[in-house]
Amino acid sequence: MKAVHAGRLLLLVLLLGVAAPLGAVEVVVCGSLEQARLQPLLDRFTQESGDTIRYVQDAPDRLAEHLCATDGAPQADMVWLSDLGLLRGLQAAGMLRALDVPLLRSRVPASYRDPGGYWYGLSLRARVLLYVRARVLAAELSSYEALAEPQWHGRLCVRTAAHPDSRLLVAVLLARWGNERTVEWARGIMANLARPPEDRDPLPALIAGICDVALADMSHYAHLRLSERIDEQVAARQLGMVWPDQEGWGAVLNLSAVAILRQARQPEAAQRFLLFMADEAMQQRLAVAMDEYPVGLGIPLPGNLVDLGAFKADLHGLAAPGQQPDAVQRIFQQAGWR
Amino acid sequence: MHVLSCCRTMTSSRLQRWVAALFSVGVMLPLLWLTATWSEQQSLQYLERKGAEHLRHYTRQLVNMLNGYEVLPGILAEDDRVRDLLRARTGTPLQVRAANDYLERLAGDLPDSVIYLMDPQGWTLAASNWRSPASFVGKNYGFRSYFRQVLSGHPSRYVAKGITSNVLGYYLGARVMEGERVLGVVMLKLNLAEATLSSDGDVDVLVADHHGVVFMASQADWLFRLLQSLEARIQEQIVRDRQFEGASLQALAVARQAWSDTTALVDLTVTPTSTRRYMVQAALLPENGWQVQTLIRLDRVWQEQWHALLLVGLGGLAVLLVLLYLLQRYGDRRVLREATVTDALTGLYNRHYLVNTDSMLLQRYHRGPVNGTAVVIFGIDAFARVNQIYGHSVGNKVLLAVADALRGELRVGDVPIRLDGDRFMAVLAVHPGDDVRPMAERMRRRVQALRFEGGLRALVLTVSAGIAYYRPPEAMDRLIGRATERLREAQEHGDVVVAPTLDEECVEVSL
Repeated sequence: MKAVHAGRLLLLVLLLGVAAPLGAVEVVVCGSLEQARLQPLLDRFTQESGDTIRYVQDAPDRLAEHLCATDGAPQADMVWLSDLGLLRGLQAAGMLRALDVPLLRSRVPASYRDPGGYWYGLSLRARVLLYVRARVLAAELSSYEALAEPQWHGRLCVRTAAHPDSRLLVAVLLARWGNERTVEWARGIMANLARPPEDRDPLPALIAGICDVALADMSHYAHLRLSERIDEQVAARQLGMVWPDQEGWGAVLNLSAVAILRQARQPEAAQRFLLFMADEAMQQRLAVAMDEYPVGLGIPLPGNLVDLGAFKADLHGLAAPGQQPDAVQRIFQQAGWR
Repeated sequence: MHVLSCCRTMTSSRLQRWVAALFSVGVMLPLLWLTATWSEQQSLQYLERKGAEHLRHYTRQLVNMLNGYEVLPGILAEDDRVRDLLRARTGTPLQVRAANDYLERLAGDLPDSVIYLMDPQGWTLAASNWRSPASFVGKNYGFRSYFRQVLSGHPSRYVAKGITSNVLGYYLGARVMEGERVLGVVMLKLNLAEATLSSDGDVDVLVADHHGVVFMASQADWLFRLLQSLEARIQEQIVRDRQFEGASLQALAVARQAWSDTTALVDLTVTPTSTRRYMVQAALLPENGWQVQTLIRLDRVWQEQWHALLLVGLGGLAVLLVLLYLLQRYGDRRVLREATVTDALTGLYNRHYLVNTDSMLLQRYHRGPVNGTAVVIFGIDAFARVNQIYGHSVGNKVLLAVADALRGELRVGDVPIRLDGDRFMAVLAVHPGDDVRPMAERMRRRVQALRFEGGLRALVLTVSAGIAYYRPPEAMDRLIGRATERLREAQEHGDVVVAPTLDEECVEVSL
């Protein structure tokens, strides 16, 4: 009986060996993007290349220090972060590997990749102003700056100072306005809060009626509008969105970007994966999966983003995140933004 | 016979009508529906791919057209001659002329473009088009939002109709600084009126600004129409800026319906009373806040759908005609066969009928006169267990074997019948001196001797039989009922035959 089992096991191993493509490897990707939404794209790469992707999801702020090198998990080959500031932090720490691939450069426009080839953006989203239609008129909102005005006293929700979204916004405003004006603005924001800053997205707080206006991520709002749940559909209809700074600098952007780590054990396969994901068709699928804008030129947008209308973005602002972390931290401290 | 043929022809026609109706409703309608759906999906998928390719092409074309101009105002803002004139504000006529000449020379390499310098109040001090009757020199454009944006240090990418020239332009600017002091702004207006977009077959394209105002389009009717409704304050701002002076800014789309994640089917107004359906895909140029859309007319989809339906309809019609022809031929053959064995005049059978039936009739003669009829009903003992143990397919094999055995025991003229389930019946012509019991016993032994192969090797089959002789004038049901009664009696013991003698049954001679 044991001999029969051993024989079957041997056959299975042989069959698997024949079925597996020659030279197929496993690439470990550590990311802060939601795995459930990415998985179909990762599976598609496996189908087409034979290489497998092990995606390990971690919180954005913890990911930089962990890099998935926790007990039992293999060392990461790549990172896929939803925040440019964190990625620049890894770059500054010398943890990223530069890539110089012409095909990759042609697929990702210069504004959305590192000039030295250390990271490549694949999708983008903007920080927007969300409001409760019943209590706020769209015409009352126009810019990030205006949120610090006294008319919003006790009506505003923002994320904590530790959250990458807050750090990115303040870094961009710091680059635009300088230290003094940014501190003044941050103090105004703190004075207008309806509740202390929370780590999670302020959308639920808006829906719950805790605040009237919130600094939020447009992709969460776009995702909510697609929801099949009746209560979320109702909530989405109760909210409105304003693209900020359209007559000025443009809306502040953040990128979801990919980089290969210096420590990568499978750099060639990681590069193949990066090229695959930067392909126009895959950027389009990624945009649909994540409710974000593709970075490539002329790639069709998901329908729910088309419905949000076009907006002017501050591409120059992409240079700011992660550049002056200490200055940003000081602004938070001076404004009392916890 | 005429009546017979006529009736059969009518039956055949009715059958043909039924077949035609069933084919039309049961086959053709679902097939046409499937064809319409499939053809529409295939065409739309093809158009989606085509639209995405055109979207990439047009977007790149647009970006390539604008590339290179973006940095020019910034470079001019650092130019000493520009600074000198702005520093002097109202320079001497000689200084202004020199600045105009300089800007004219610079703009010479940029066809249909205008470079001009404005002081902090919005007055144009010098312009490359200073010789033109529509020169900007001396005009104040300080009310336009691009001027305010550039003056406050914001990047400006502004699309508007020119106030002076009425020509659509793309305005790029840079602030000219001296230390902390703002000297003025330098502006570049690119002529967009010449940069026309053209349709490619059934693919159209439009470009809209971040307010949703279409400012470039392959269809002239779409220019200065709206992709989305405007808030009142934006509307006021556009009017205040005189951004699209003279344009009515009416909505372009009347309905939108998502077709895939990135594609929508949109009805656009063609005339005030009519709309046309397009497949629409959109891409964003975030730096400008522009949206590029490709729109593909769907008329071709309906055309292709119609062609596919026509093809399938004609194919179905051909199949139906062939089917009806075959049915007609089958009906005709049946009528013909009847006609060959029937006398046309009397309707009686003719000599040809005898060719097929004489052997049976003559064989019966050789067996002597018939003086009665008997039925024997055989029941397979415990057949339910065979089905339970071996399954129904094996049960069917057993039934076939028993049927073969029964056929082997009967004479020409006797009729073997499968009564139901595991019961078989033989209707026998009884001749003088005939006893049916030996035949039933032979049958019983024959079945007992049956041997099967494979998993049925161990199966020993037995049958029991009940016999009844015809008692005129009883009905066949009654006759079968009596035989069944005896079969039941036999099956209580199993593998036996229960039969009365011919005398016991009081048979009368039936001939």
